[in-house]
Amino acid sequence: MHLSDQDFENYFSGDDNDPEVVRIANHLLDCPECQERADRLSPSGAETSRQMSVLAPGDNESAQPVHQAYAHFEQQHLEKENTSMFDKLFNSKYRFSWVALGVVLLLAVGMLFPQVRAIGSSFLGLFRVEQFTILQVDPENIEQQLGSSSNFEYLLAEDVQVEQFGEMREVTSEEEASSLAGFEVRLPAATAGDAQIVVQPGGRVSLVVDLPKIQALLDELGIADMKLPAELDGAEVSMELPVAVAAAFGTCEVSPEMVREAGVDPDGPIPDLSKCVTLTQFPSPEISAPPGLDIARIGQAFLQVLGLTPEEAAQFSQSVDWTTTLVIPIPRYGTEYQEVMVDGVAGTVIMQSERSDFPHYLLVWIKDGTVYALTGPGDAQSAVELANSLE
Amino acid sequence: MTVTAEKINFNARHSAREFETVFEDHWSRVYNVVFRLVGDQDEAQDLALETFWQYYRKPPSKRENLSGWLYRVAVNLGFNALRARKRRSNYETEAGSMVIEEQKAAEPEQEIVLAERRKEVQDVLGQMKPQSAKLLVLRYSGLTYTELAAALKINPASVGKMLARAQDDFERLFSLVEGG
Repeated sequence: MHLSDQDFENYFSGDDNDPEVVRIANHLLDCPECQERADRLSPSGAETSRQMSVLAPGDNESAQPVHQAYAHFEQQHLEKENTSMFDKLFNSKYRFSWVALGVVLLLAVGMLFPQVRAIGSSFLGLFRVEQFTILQVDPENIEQQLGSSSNFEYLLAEDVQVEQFGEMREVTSEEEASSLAGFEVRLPAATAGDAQIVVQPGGRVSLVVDLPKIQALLDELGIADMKLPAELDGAEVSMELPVAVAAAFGTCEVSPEMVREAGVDPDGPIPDLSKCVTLTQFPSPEISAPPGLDIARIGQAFLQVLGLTPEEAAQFSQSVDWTTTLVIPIPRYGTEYQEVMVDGVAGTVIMQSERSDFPHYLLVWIKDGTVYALTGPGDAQSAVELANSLE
Repeated sequence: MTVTAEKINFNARHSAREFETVFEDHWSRVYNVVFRLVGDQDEAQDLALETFWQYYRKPPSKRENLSGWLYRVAVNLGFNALRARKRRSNYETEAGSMVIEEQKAAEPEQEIVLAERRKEVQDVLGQMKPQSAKLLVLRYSGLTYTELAAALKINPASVGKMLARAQDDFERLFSLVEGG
């Protein structure tokens, strides 16, 4: 039942405290149709409505689509802001290196070089990873070699293709994360406070091998004695990056400048991670490569790029099953590592032994086909205790 | 460590997805509110984005009506811009309006007429009591009486009468402008 003309007349001419006016006012609140009539029936309503209508945006002046507006918002505000390490860590810019343990490793260890990270992204995660092995390298030698190599930069810029399937999503529970990621997400029971959880989409890194170019790179790096198999030329090697889930606990703050500097300048500032714990988990990445490829031989070249002599590379390569092993290079100085039993399987904990007033760890292990990487403050024992509380 | 306290607060209370949902739900209406006051797409977009930025940095308490809060911020930003432009316009008039006239000559006649009509209406709004002007802008942007009450923090039962008074004020001032 809508208001009558008489009701409106009583409303506009009556006293606010008059019960009849109060009744009409209350009706108006719940009756959009009556509100529109009130707009027209008030003494100046119709004319005001006509004048005000010119202010409405025209067809070519309407709001831009919301997704574009949101992108502008991110560009104008969010990207310029100093962000928490958590935000930055899982920003799409860092996504792929992160999946390959790159950024996690960089921030936790704080001493690796971009070149190592780049190699790691495109090569280290070969086949389905079932185990890790640590390789201590001399970062200065790598930087010296690769930093001066135009072929290396050209190879990464021109030949390595990176695709990302969707956008990062922040979720509020491990159940939601599990549902979105498609695997059971586990979180440590022993962490205080709520986790910030992010689900990263999957992706793909691919490379069509240009053998002359890679051979030129090896020659430039002084690895002229390493001849790659001819069947590699033109082959497409691709790595499927799985959906990954990352959770952060505690205070994980760092300015973008520090993120950029982490791992680039060994003498630069180190992010304050004294109260930050992160747990990253994802199904083992898989790589597809041409059948019959001599992986051990390529691995040997990779090891030489990392600074091993041909003899050392040959020896190490023979001891590694390249189809199941993720080789994690860590700096020879300033870090130490040890094998531990964690979550019922063998794992590796890497400790930052210098350059910090507080001990910090990176613990990596693989269980039931899922890779876990836990970083946080404390020693190896506290890392293992926290990892063992996963549920 | 340079993360702002506001951001930490936001992160503590809202997820990024919640924020995105608020943005999606209110973007178009917030833009429409500020456009009515500034009449320029780019400026309206900037002010609408600024509205959401204020929400992102320092969201209202959960007890407060969210849409009411957003439209209050939006109409305040728009109204401030309108008044700032009025001050600039006065200055430019004093300094000479030759450049503006040259720009007008390049626009189709229909657009010039519309722009002049908008300017008249906006000038009137700029002369009104701020609360009355905001009430009209929000009402003609499509807000209901309940939303108007929440946005401008007024007694819901008084909205209809306040609107009628605002319309009377608008008409009185507009007739003065038209009468020269």
